[in-house]
Amino acid sequence: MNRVRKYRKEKGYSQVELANKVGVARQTISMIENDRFNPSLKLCIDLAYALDADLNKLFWCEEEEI
Amino acid sequence: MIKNENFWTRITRNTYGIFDNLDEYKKNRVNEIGNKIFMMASRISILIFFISTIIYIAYGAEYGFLTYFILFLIQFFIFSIIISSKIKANNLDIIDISRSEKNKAQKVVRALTFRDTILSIVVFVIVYSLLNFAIYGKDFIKSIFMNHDYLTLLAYLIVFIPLRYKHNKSRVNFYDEES
Repeated sequence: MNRVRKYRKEKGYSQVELANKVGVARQTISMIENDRFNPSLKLCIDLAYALDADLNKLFWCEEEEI
Repeated sequence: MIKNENFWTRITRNTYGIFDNLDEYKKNRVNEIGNKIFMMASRISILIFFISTIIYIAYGAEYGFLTYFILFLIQFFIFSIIISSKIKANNLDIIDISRSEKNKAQKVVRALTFRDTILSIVVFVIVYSLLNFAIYGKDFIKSIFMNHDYLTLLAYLIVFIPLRYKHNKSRVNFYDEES
């Protein structure tokens, strides 16, 4: 549902690089990308800064997508 | 990459056997597992206390203490097994290593097995000495330093080390650098 993977690929980061940027394990990035873990607002903001995207672009989803 | 971690984070990581940093996801899962175990363990501890009190009243202090000690150990091992199986089921204990660093995996597994072996020897000696103290009334401090049952320890290590090595090896998860 979220677009973390899309934006990460656009920036050319690997999961490890993104994980190191936001200070989590690679596994956590994988879980977020596969919608198996809902990150806290703080982590969402960290991800948005790391990917140069805003929160809406990364995590917002339309009602029918929920 | 483990950042500077405080005392409690380190204790939590070691208790649950988490290899890399305790981030948000792992902290949430570990808290959930820990809460459930605590709820069960606190109730069972009360039950163990009542059972050993009844034994104490009926058969005397020695049997009461022994019952408490044995039931406590059983509870401890059962909960340890439950925790480790839940940690494994949630993939919290994985050793995440890039495919290009296969040699590193071997070193990490060996180092972890060595650490586990040293810890298990310490635990074995303490538990064995406590049992000596509880069953035969030997001096606890003396039985730590005069533990003559090396054959039992050797047999324990012959079983423990390969099992632990296999377990640590199964924790390794190779990932692609490009992923």
